[in-house]
Amino acid sequence: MSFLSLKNVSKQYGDSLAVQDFNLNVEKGEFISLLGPSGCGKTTTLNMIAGFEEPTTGTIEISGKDMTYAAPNTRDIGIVFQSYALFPHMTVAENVGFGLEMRRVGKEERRQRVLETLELVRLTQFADRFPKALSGGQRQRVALARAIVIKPQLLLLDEPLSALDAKIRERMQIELRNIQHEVGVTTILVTHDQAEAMAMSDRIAVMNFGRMARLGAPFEIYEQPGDLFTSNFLGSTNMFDGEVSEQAGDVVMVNCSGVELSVQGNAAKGSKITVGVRPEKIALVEAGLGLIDAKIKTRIFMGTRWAYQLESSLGTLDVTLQNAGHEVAGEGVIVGVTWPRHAIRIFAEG
Amino acid sequence: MKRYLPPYLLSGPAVIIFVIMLAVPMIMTFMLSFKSFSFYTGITPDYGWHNYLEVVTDSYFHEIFFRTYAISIGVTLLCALIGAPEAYILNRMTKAWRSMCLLAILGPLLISVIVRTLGWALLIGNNGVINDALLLLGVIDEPLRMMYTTQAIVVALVHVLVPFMVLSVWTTLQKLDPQVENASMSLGASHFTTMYRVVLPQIMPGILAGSLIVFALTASAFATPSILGGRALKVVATTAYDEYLNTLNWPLGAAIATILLIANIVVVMSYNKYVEHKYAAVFD
Ligand SMILES: Nc1ncnc2c1ncn2[C@@H]1O[C@H](COP(=O)(O)OP(=O)(O)OP(=O)(O)O)[C@@H](O)[C@H]1O
Ligand SMILES: [Mg+2]
Repeated sequence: MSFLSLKNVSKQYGDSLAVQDFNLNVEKGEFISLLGPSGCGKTTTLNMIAGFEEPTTGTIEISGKDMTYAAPNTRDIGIVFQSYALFPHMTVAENVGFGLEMRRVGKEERRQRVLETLELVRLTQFADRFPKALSGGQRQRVALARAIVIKPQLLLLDEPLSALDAKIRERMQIELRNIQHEVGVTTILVTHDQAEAMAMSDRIAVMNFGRMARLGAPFEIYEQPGDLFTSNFLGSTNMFDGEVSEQAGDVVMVNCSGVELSVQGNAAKGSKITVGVRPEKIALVEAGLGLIDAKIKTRIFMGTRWAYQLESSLGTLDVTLQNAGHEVAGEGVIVGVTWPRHAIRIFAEG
Repeated sequence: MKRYLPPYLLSGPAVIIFVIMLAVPMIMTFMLSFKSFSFYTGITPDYGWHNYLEVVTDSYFHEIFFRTYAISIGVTLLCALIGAPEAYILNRMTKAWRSMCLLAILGPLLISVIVRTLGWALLIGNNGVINDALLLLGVIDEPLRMMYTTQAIVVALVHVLVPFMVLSVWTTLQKLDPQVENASMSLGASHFTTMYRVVLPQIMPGILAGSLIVFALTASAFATPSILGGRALKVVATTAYDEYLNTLNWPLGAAIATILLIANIVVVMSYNKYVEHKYAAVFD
């Protein structure tokens, strides 16, 4: 039995469906991300789990108990809000201690646990400050401390890092992951940043228009996204439309704009399909030695890698190469383009 | 040097109006309060503290000042008790309902104070609507005396002044992160605890600011106490008026007005200082 399960959960606002037929089972101790574009229903899903909103249909079970309509203050859930929602009239220590106070934890134990948690998020020296006098990253850690000090069964994080700049965000991601490991609390993170979701989660639930598009481990769904939306949302993809010209075993030949590509997978001969290959899977070789030749249109240096745009008979190709420390082919050069057969995937048929 | 000039020039017209309309009459009132008066000679310019001494020592005036501030405190408390929840509910309403209710709340401000107070007189007079209705229903045998009571003054003042409290609290509510209440609930707090521990402290600055306005306006209120309180229940403002126009003792009236002004300034300033001091660390 899963720790948390959402069964056929839908939420309707007026005549628009914010969440549709959502099913998700979360195991104890798991770190799950809800990933999707703005307005796809992530916050709504989280609010229903937290009890701030009631589902229109469907049930939410926690530890096997139906909690669909339970009040938020009976669910034992720690939440870090996107806006942090700290209590501005309380000091950091009072903020963190509030949940313990509500649980009638004795004064001495409360002080002890607040101190321990502040140590965990490395805010001990700020205990007596008001939230107003903290930086964004510090506020975020107070919000986190306030949520985990009560040792909740479930931790919900609604885009907790979106307000931070890239560098702090990366550091906070690692910190958050470490703290989650240390405390071992089941966690659901809402984000629209695919890199964040992949960096932190055991599993990712990709959402689109209120529906679950794909659920799986980060590597798995990145490599086998299943549909075009997921593929594009998790990373850029070079896509070619074509027609299956031949099928043999689990390999099909696809004719894309006159180029014959061999692809692993199944598709009926004559059917129209889309195939896609990720930029980092493509290798550049000498002209004439690859699958096709292409002309380098732009080359951008990004530090750890090079980003290319190539002009080929398949259309524009995005390619990224690791920066290995030596100069690479520049703009205007004709190069060969190749990729391993298993790197190219079949999407929507027809 | 030149760039300092434009601000002065620009604020010049306002300053001139301010000086003519406010500063000059006030200074003249202040001067007047030191002059003397007798029935036979009228106002004479022998300056002294005697008017102030009279107010400070005469128990007749003590009672009036005490009544004024008792009413002010009562009205302020009632306005806070009614206005703060009102603002909170208003803030949670849907837009359409909110505009309607806001209109109802701000309504009293759109009606002349005299008309509004006479309306109260029609309602609570011995032959007023309420007494007539109660007599008709047989609830009472003789009319309740509601006119010329402190309660009548308080109720009518609360009616007029509660919008100031609502607006003041509402402004602070707008700055309140709605998620903060959810945060409190998710940490295990009940609705009541959330209200008391999380919402109330955050809207306190609004309540305190509103209280200041209500208190100052009540302490210097004239029309309502004079119509609903009559001759028997004098407050400071009506007393000053009577000294000017009935007794014709302008210097004494001026002294009373000056004391009221200074007392109000002292209350408002020290209150402000207290509030600022208390919340400086918490809110921007
Ligand atoms: N209270 C509401 N009333 C009406 N519609 C709502 C309400 N709350 C959300 N919606 C709608 O439901 C949909 C999902 O909203 P939700 O806030 O869950 O999106 P989200 O995935 O969290 O987006 P973001 O990444 O921008 O935060 C949106 O189309 C939104 O307009
Ligand atoms: Mg959201």
